[in-house]
Formats: sequence, structure tokens, C-alpha cells
Amino acid sequence: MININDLSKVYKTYHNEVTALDNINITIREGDFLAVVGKSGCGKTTLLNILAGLLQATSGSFDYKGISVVDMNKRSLDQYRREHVGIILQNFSLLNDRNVYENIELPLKIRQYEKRKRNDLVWEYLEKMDMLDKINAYPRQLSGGQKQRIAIARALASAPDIILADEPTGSLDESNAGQIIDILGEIANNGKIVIMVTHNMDLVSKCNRIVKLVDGKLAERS
Amino acid sequence: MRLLRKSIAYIIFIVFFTAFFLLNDVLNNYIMKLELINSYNNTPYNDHAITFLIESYEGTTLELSGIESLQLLEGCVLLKYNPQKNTMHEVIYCDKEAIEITDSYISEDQWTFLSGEKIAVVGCSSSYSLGENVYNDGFTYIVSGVLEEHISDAVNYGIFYSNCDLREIDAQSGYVLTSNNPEHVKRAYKELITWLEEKNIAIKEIDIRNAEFSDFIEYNRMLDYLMVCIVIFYVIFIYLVRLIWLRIKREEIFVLTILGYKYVKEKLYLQYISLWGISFILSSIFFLLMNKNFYYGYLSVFRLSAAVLLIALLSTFKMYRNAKYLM
Repeated sequence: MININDLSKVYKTYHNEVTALDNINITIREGDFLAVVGKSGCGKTTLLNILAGLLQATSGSFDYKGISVVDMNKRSLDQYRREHVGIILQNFSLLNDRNVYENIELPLKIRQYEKRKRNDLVWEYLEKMDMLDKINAYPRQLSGGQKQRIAIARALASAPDIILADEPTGSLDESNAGQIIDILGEIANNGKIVIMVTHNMDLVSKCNRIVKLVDGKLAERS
Repeated sequence: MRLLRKSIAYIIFIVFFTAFFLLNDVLNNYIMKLELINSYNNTPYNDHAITFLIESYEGTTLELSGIESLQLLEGCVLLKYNPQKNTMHEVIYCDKEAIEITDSYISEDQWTFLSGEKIAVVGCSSSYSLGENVYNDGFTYIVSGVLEEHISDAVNYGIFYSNCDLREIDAQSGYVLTSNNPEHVKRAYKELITWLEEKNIAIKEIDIRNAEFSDFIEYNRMLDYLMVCIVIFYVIFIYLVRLIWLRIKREEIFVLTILGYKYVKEKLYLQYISLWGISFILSSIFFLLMNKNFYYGYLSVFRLSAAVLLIALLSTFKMYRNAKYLM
């Protein structure tokens, strides 16, 4: 379970201050497929980056399974991301000089899994994503939908408890977008926390929870 | 794919280093010539002595052993400055008339040089006197001549050894032609030019008065400024390379960060140092193979290159801490 309490983030520049998040309070439970919606610049990605431990909150707290993440040092945050978080991004963030197998294998290598276990897991997730025939392909040889499936496989391979998806369907056509949302929904059904940032209201119908941000404030929740 | 990218990176760096060595080589030669001027207290030309460089292609010899060539140096002393041995000077020719005090020097005694006997000629202000032994580089030399007072302290305090065989004097060094009689110097110099011209070898006088920047800056200072400029240039260059390299690596850094890899910075820096290090070694080998006439002097080029590289790498170390902001 993730508890977000009075979380705020202020970006300071020489000239002014911009409040990206303003006292956000949310509780997210295992099995939740939470959609964070709102206009561009409302703080969606900032929230996701804080939850991923990539960005420091200005004030407030959030804890995962009772452990305060905002108080973690850099090494602990790396460990938190490595063991608990899977991140899916709009631009896929695949390494172009590695093939599909190597891209999915990377988080498993980082977690120092044995070679055989890595191999089994890569094959398992490729099969789940129906991408076995592309095992030796390089990202540039794949379509947008295929790249996103590989990105999802990479995020899931190390069995994280939290999946953070930042506009995962932003670069995809309607058909591929629908398939990706179905996959994310299935992950949530398996007891994981899935938090998806999107501005596409058509996709949120498949999420079991929705929060709307307006100018960094929580405007609606369901 | 990765191999291709790595290979391209290595090739770029090897080309850089080879250019770096070649540039250093050119600079090194230039600096040596400046040092040469510097060694003679910036007073290379006067009535009693002329300091000059002989410009020729490598491997050319002067062959001063013939009677004709020795006659043209009559009444003079010809000293050789050896830039590879720093302050080591050699007596190429030393006629009796050029020596203030001597016990044996006459023209025929030049055959002593040909036989390779260890003889030294000293400046008038040196601590050695006639007949004394001078120990240098494991050899003993007998002082057989003391030179007339010269305007340059480098000559007055100098100890000049007779190491060379007159048949194999290279034509790539700096020389001092001096005598107690200015007329001997003028005549010998004129004849030497004519004699060398016949051999297609040119003489270049080192005259501080005609040197660049000489009206504004001392050569001593200029050397320092030149070295500082070279170091700054390389440091800036390596900074820029690092910046470009970080930009190229941005994608990998970001992916490793979101996957929670805890040694991103260390991995990054190790890769960076490996790239420089391996390229440095490969290009050193390449440079050595390219230079068939490898000699001791090149070691100083490598020392200089290695020192500059080390300074540059150490100076970039601090910067890696900010790598995350470049992501």
C-alpha cells in the first residue's frame, strides 16, 4: 500500500516559484489500477517521478508498506526502484544498441539473477507479451506497439510491486493503445499497484480508480 | 551494434591521440629550439660567437673528418648542443688558436677526436682547470682546453665533451661557433655556409633580435605561457569531449537509473577512463610503429602527453558528480 500525505513539490527558479504539486493525499492499495489525469503541466509526471524516487518532494511524505520513501538516501532509493518499481514511459526508453532479449534481461542482470533464471524470465515475459518471434530484433526494427510491449516486459521481468506508467499509450494508435491498457489492467488484477498517467480520457474507463489533478491540486477522485 | 559503436568511439579517440602526439612532437621540437636559445642566455650572436641550427633531413651527417672541412674551421671551436641530452655539449672541433690555455691542441690533434678519446673543453668560469678529470655519465674526461671568455654564461660555465666521431655528426642539432678572434669566427662561418650549401644543407642563425615577440616578452616567460596554454587547451578539449560523451550516454544513464542500478556514476566513469586509457595505449603503439626513426627524444613526448592526460582526467573527475543533471 502506498500512502501519500500532504505531498507538495515546488520548482524554484531565480525569478519565480512554480507549485507543481500542492498537498496531495492519496492511498493506493494492491490491485488498484489508478489513472492520474489532467491537463499538461498539472503535475502528473512530477507525481509519478516522486513515486519512482527520481524526484525529491518539497514537503509532505509518502510511504510504501509503512516505510517512508521521501526520507530514503540515494542508495536506498536505487534499491527501492530496483526491487519494487517498474517504470513504463511514453518514449519506451529501450536501449537501441541492445536487442529485445538484452533489453528485458537488463533489470535482471542489475538484480544479479543467475543466467539460467534470467533466461527463463525473459522467455516467460516475451511469451506473455506475444513477442517471442522478435527476441533477436533491435528496437529500431519494431513498431511503436511492439516497443511498448517490450518496455512492459522489461518493467515486469523483475516482478515489481508497483508499475508506474507515464503516458504509456501516448505514441501508439488506438488499437495498440487498447491492448496496452488491457495488459496493464491484467497486471493490476494480479495484485500489483498500477499507476498510469494519461491525458486520454477514453482509456481511463478501464482503470478502477481515477484522480484528476488541476494546477497541482487534487480536483477529483473516484 | 554495440561493438560497432564502441569501435567507432575507439577509432575517433585513437585519431585524436595520434594527432595529439604529432602536435606534441611538433611543439616539443619547437620548445627544444626555444630551450636552445634559452641556454645561451638569449645572446646567441656576437662578435665572438655565432649560434646556429643546421636544417636538414634526418640522417644527414656533416662528415667533418676531411682535411678540407677541418681547415675551414681553423682558429675556431665548434660546439654541439644536444637537445636530447639537455645540457650536454660536445666539442666537434677545437683548434689551438681558439683556446686560451691548452697543453696539446693543434689541428693535427683533431685525430684524437676521431679515435674517440675522452677529452673535455671547459668554459673559463667553470670549476675545472687544465689536466683535471671530469666525470660524466660513467666516463672520465681529461680537461684539455679552457675557452676564451664568452659573452654567454652558458659557454663560460659549460663543460664540453668530445664524445662524437667527426664522421658521424648529425645535421639536426644546434651548434656554437666561437673563437677568441672574431675574424676567425666570421671567416669560418662564411666558409661553413658555402661548404654546407654544396651539400644542400641550410644553416639557420638563432638571433634573438629577430625572434617573434622578442620585443614584448622574454623567452623564458613565453615558454611557461606556451606550456600553460597547451595544458589549458587539452583540458578544455577533454571537457568538451566528456560533455559530448555524456550526451551520447544520456539514454543509457537514464535507463539504468530508472531500473535502479546503483553504480551508474561508477560505471560511467570507468567506461570513460577505459576509453581514454585504451585509446591512449593503442595510439601510442600506432605512433611508435609510424615513427620508424624512434629515438630517446620521443619519450619526452609521451611523458608530456601522459602528464597532460592525467591532469585532464583528474580535472574532469569532479565533474562526473554532476552527471545526473546532464541526463
